[in-house]
Amino acid sequence: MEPMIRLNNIEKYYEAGYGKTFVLRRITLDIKEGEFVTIMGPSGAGKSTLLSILGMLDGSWTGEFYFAEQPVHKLHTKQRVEINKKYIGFVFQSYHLIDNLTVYENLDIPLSYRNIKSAERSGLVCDVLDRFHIVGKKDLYPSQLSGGQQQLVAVARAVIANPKLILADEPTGNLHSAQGKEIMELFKKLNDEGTTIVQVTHSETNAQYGNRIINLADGWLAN
Amino acid sequence: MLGRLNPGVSQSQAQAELETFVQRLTLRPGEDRNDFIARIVPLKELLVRDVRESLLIFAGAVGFILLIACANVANLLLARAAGRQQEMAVRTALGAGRWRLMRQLLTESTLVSLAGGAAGLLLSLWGVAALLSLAPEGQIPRIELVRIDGWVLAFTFGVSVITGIVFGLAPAFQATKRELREALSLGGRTLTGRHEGLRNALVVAEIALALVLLTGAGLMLKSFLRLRTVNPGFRPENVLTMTVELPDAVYQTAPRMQAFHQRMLARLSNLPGVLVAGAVNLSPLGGYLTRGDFQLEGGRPMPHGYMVDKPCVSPGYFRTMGIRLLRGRDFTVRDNASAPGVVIVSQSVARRLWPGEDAIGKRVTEENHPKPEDWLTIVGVVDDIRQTGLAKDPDPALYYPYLQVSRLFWLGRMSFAVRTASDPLRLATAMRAALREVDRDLPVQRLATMQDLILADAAEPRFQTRLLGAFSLLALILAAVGIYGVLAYSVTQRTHEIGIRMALGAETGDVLHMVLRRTLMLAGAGIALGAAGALAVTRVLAKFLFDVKPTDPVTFVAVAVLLACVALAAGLVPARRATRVDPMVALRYE
Repeated sequence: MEPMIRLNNIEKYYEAGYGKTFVLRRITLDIKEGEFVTIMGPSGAGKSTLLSILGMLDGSWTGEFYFAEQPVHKLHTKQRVEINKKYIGFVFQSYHLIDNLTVYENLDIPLSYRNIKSAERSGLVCDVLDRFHIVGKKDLYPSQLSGGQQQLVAVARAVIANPKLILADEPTGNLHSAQGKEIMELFKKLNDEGTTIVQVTHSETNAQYGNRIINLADGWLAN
Repeated sequence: MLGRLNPGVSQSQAQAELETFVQRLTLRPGEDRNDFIARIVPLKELLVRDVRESLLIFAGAVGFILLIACANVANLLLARAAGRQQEMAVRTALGAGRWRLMRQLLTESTLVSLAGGAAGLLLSLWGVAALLSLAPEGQIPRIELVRIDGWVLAFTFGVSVITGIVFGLAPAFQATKRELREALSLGGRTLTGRHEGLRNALVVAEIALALVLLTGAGLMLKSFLRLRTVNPGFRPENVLTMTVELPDAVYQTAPRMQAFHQRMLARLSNLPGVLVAGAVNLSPLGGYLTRGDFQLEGGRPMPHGYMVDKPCVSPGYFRTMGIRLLRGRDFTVRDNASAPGVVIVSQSVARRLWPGEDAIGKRVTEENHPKPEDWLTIVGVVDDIRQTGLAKDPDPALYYPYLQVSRLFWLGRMSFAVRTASDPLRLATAMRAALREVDRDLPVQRLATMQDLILADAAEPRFQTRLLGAFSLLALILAAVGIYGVLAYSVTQRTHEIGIRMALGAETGDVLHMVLRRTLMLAGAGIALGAAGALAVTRVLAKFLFDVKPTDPVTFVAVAVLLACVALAAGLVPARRATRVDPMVALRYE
C-alpha cells in the first residue's frame, strides 16, 4: 500500500545575499495512513516549516511530495488548497481561534469553506459540540475560555470536516500538564479511530503517545 | 436711480413717498400712468438676491467636504491611537494623568490639523483663481473682492484648531481609556476590533455625505444637460443682434423713432451676407420685458390673471429669429399707423383663448372702453418662444407691428437682428458702421450673437454644475480614501485571522469576498443614510433645477451605483492584499 505522505529530497531555503540559508535539507520520509508521528528537534530545526509544507500552507520548496498518491510538487496553489480542505486539519500551539467569533462560529469556519449547506453544517457543528462536551460553551467567545478549553475547541475545529490527517504544532505548548494530557488523550483517541496524526513537540511525554518519532536538526533528518 | 435714505426713514415710508410722487408725474403724449411702477429695493438685496441661495448651497457643500476630510483624519487618528495603547499605558504607569495624556494627543491632532490648514491655504492661492475663472462674468456681485485676506487666514486658523480638537477628542479618549494591565500585556500588538464600530461609523458618514453631494451634482448635471437641449422656440445660429437706445432729447416722437428704425432696417437688409433683418424691442433672453393683459371681442372674459409678453417687432423679425409662422401672415410695411390695427399671437395664446377655433381674424384690444379703431385683428400665429430664459416656460405673447406702436418707451430701445449665411460676427463691424451712418451719435448698447445670449443664459447653471461637480468629485475621492484607509487598516489588523482562515481552507475568493463584503456593507449603510439625507437636502436645489425633480429616481440610483463601484474599487486594493497573506507568516506573527 502506498504511504499517505511521501517526501523525496524536500528542501527549503531563503535567499540571503549571494548565498542560500537552508531551513530543510534533503528530507525524505514516508508517513503511512493511521500513523501517529511525532516530529522533534531543537528550536530552528525546521519542524514547523516541515509541518507547514505537509499542510500545503507553504508552497515554496523543492523536491517531490506525494500526498495520497497525488504529486503535490506538480500541483497549482488552488489544487493544493483543495487537498488541504479535503484531507487536513490543523491544531496550533496558540489555538488560533478567531477572537470575534463564538465557539459555534469558530467551528463553522472550516465547513463554510467546503461548500456544505447551512443546515448540514449546523448538524455537524452540533455533533462536534456534543462529542467534545462543549455544548454549554457554544455561545462564548475565545477570550471567555481557559487555555485548555480553547485548545479543545481548536481540536474540535480541526476534526469537524472529518480530515484524514491532523497536523498539530506544539498543541500543548501553552497548556498546563493536566490540560495537555487531556488533549493528547484526545489525539490518541482520534488516531485509534483511524485519523493520521503528525505532531510537533518538545515534550518527550507527548511523543510517547505516537508510534514513531522523527528527529530534525538544522534542517536535516537526524535519525 | 440710487438714493440714500435719511436717518430714521424706513423702507416702507420711502416706498409710500415714491408712489405718491409717481401719481403726480406729468405724463407725455402716449404714456399711461399704469405703465409706471415705483419700487424701493435695498442695494444689498439688489446685488446679492440672485446668488445668495446659490452661494449658501456651495458653502454647505464645502462644509460637507470639510466633514468628510475630518472623518478621514479622525479615522487615521483612531488607527494611530490603537497602535499607541501600550505607549499610553507605559506613560500612565510612569505617572501621567489621563488629562495630561489627552492634552498631548489633542496637541498632536491640532498640529496635524493646522498643518492641513496651512497646506490648504497654499493650495487656495491657486484654487481661488481657478474657481473664480469658472464664475460667469458679471453674475456674481463683488467677485473682484474675493481674495485671501486676514479674515480668511483667521477663519482657516479657527477652523483648523476647532476641527483638530473636536475630531481629535474621540481618538484621544479611546487611546487613554485602556486598562493598564490589559494594554501592557499587549506587548506591542494592538487588539483587533477595538474602535472598529467608531471607524465604521465615520466611513459610513463619509459615504453618506459624499452621496448627498454627488446627488446634488447629479441633479444639477442632468438639469444642465436638459437645459442645453431645450428648444428655445427660435433658431439662434447665425443671428447677430445689436441693441440701440434712442435718447428722449433727440427722438421725441414715435414717428421719429420709427423713421430711425426703418432706415436702420433698410441698411442692415442691404449688407452683404445678410439673409434677412428684423427688429424687436424685447429681444429673446435680452433681460427686458413688457407684460400685460388685453380685452377680447364680444365681452368674453379673459382667464383670471392671464398676462402675455408684448413685444413690438418689425416685418421680417420672425424670419430673422427663426420663429415659425404657423398660420396667417407676417407683418408688412403696410401695417402702419394709417392701416387697421393688427397683431400676431403666439400659439399658446391662440390655444388658450380660442381652443378648437382659428385665431386668425379674431379681434382684441388694450382699451377698457375701445373705440372702433382700437380693435386689433389677429393676422398670424407664431411658435411660442422662451423669452425670459431657457429654464423658464415659453411665454404667451402678443406681437405688435412697430409701425403701429405709439408708446415711446416701447420704441425707445430696439434690438436689430440679422440672419447671416456664415459666421454672424463677421457682420459686427458692418452693423456698427450702419448705425454710424444712420445716427453717428448713437452708441451700441450691446452687440451679441443669439448663441452668446443662450450661453450667457446657461452660464449660471453651468457654473453651479461645475462647482458642485468639482466639490462632489473631491468628496468622492476623499470618501474612497476613507474606505481604503479603513479597509487597509482592517486587513492589517486581521492578518492573523486571515492566516487562520487560509489554514482552515479559505481560498483566494473567500478572502476577497470577506473583505469586499465588508466594503459593500459599509457602502450600503452609507448609501442608505446618504439617500435619506439627499432626499431632505436636495429640496433646496429645486429652485435651480430645470425639468428635473429633486427626488429624480434615475439620478439617485445612478449616484448610488457610482458610489458603490468607487467603494468596491477602493476596497479592492486591501482585499487583494488580504489574499496575498502568507498563512505561515500570519500564524507566526502571533
